[in-house]
Amino acid sequence: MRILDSLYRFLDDRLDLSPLIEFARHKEVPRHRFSWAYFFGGLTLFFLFVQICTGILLLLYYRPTAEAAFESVQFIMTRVTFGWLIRSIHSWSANLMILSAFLHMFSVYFMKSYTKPREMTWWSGFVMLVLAMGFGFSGYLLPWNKLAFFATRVGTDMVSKVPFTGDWLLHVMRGGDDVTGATLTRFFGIHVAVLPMLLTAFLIMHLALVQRQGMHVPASLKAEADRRPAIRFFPNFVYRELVVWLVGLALLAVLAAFFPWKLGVKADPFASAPAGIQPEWYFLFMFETLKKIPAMVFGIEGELLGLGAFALGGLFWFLIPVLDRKSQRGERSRLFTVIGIVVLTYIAGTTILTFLGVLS
Amino acid sequence: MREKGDGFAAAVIAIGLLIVAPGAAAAGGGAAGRAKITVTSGGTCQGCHLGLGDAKLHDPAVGFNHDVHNRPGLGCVACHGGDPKAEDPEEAMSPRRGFRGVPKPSQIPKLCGSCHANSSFIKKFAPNLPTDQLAQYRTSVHGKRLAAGDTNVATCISCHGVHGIRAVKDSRSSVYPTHVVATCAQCHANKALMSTYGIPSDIVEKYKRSVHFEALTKKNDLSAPTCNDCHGSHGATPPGVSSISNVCGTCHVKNMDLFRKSPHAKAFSEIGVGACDGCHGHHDVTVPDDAKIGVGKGTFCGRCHDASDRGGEAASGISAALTLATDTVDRARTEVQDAERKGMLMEKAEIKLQESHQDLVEARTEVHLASVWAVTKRANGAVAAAKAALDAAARARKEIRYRRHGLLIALALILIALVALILKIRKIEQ
Repeated sequence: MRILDSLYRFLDDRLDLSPLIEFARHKEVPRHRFSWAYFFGGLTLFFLFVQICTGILLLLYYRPTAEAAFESVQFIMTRVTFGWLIRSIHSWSANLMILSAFLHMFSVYFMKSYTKPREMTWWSGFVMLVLAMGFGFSGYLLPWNKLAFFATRVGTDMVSKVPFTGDWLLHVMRGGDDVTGATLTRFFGIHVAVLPMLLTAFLIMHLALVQRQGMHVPASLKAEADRRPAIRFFPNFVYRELVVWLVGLALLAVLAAFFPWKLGVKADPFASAPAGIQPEWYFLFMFETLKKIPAMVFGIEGELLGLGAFALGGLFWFLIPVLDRKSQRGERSRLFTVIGIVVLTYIAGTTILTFLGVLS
Repeated sequence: MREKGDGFAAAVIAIGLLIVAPGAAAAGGGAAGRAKITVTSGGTCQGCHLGLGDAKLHDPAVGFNHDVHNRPGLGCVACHGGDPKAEDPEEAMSPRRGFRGVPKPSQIPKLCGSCHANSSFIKKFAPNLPTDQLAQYRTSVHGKRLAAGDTNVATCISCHGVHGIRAVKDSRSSVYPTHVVATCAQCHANKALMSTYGIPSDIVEKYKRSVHFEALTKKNDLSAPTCNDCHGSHGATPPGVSSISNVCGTCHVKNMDLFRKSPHAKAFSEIGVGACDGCHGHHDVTVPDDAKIGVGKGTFCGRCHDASDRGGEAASGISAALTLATDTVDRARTEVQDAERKGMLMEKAEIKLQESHQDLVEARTEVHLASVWAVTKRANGAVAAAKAALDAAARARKEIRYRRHGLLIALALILIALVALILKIRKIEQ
């Protein structure tokens, strides 16, 4: 303990930690019947930490070339001590992180926590969700297996539908006409350098805003939050968050041990596309929708129309803090609640029905 | 014979036909057909016939649009004669202009052969197309009977169709491998027709139960034999008992070689049993099963041998070796697949499984030599490879147990930490 005290004094003398300590000591988290929703952000952060740690370990052995990528992952899974566990946890944690991020986003949405002064928190969170999906898309190709290869070919092909710049974008994304070793190298660079850099910047901004503005309490829960004693951030809320993290860790361990992430067979660009190509589950709602749109709608290419609709939908979702005027004024906003329910039902419904084999 | 220039002109006309044909067909009625006759590759013939209401006269003109002969510009005149440039139907179909009308069945082989047996003519259109079809046809049962005046037998158009003939490689062709059996079945499954020749009419049904039909239609294996692969196409004839091994041996080369070296070759020949069909049958060749080897009930060997003779002893020895190998390979496959389902990478075990499967296939092939030693040698190879796969599966099971024990320990530690945290929270909140 004397050592810790000495270390604290050493740092305090140089960095003046007392304002931070005071801030943590006085920071409180509102207590109401939906307080549990506050944990999703922290849970997403936990899975991100797991991603960073396991990702760095995988980097020690992974080789980003078309010739060696598959074999290097195979080596990790069979020869490297606990390599199978690291890879499996990395893959499962990626999925759980996006699931947790979606839950966080919808809990924020339904509690209307995007209202002033938290618009920037919503926007930074939205960007981080897009970046997380970018992580998923780029990481999916890295094992260079058959399914990932063809799913990436289908996924990147959609970019070519963008008017005027589609072909150019496709070339930039693939590093050529088709998905090749050049695409793999690009995706690797994006996955381990570009996206982490962007995510770190937005994460710092997001966390700083959350700390600066505190937790939002919906108008309908204000009375309850005022009546009940708030939870002290440190250590009470932090301990609770740790409980959630441990549950997340236990879930990861069970999934990794009982359902190790499969590797499949090595990609063969000359082989015919396998049946049932599917992207990761969080792209399924878009993928299935695009599949169901007719080839031509009112003289416009169906896929282009679908992509345009999703782009507009994304823009609408991004601009929710501006568009939802009633919530901004502190009034009940039934329309946006209904919109949220429709969007959630559509995404969850399409994804589940596809998994059940009803849609595809 | 056509001049080069005529061929080119006809090709241009053919393109014109494709453009105007739908319109002309839609117009309907003889009067419309006569009002304005368009010159096409089918010449005025198609222009007129497309406008006729009678399906017998109209449909051939429609079918000819996708006929393989249409593309190089061979029109109706090539088979029916007449003048495709004459606008007056009477004049166009006048015998003075060489109109032949509908050829009789007996005339068809010669008519088709006038081009298809003429190598200098055919090479202008399809240099690789053989020109011996007519010669082969004349050696076939069909050709011989036609020459004898039987017009019920198959001629060129019976198999290839008419007015809509497609290239053999075209998957829509009636003689594409997957369609051959249905084409032959038009006559050979016709009980009344076949009874007049004393030929069984159940051969098509039998063939449809065979491993060959299954490979062809369910696995899309176009190399699997259909009717013409064993009987020939244009020279179709039933292979005799003495030549059946040559027919099967075309694909099953190793089996045929081994059989010829076996003591059965001479014995089968002496009792007049076909080399392959003696055991396997012919049209209804099913998947050979290990259970057919041995001297028990329902076995191939048991038809001639019993347990006490030398051949019976050999059959029992072969059966025992195959049964052991099959059981071991099956067990290995089940255990490797089980480990794969549990998420283990089993690529080395898979290689061993492939080796064992290959050895087992070769052991079954050696059965045709009727040598216990040869079969056992291969079967032992299969057992050894399967045991290596079983060892790998056992190691995988051990690894799975190790992982699950590790998980239990990790979960126990997490649980302890959780309980400690919850107690701590309670304590500080009191």
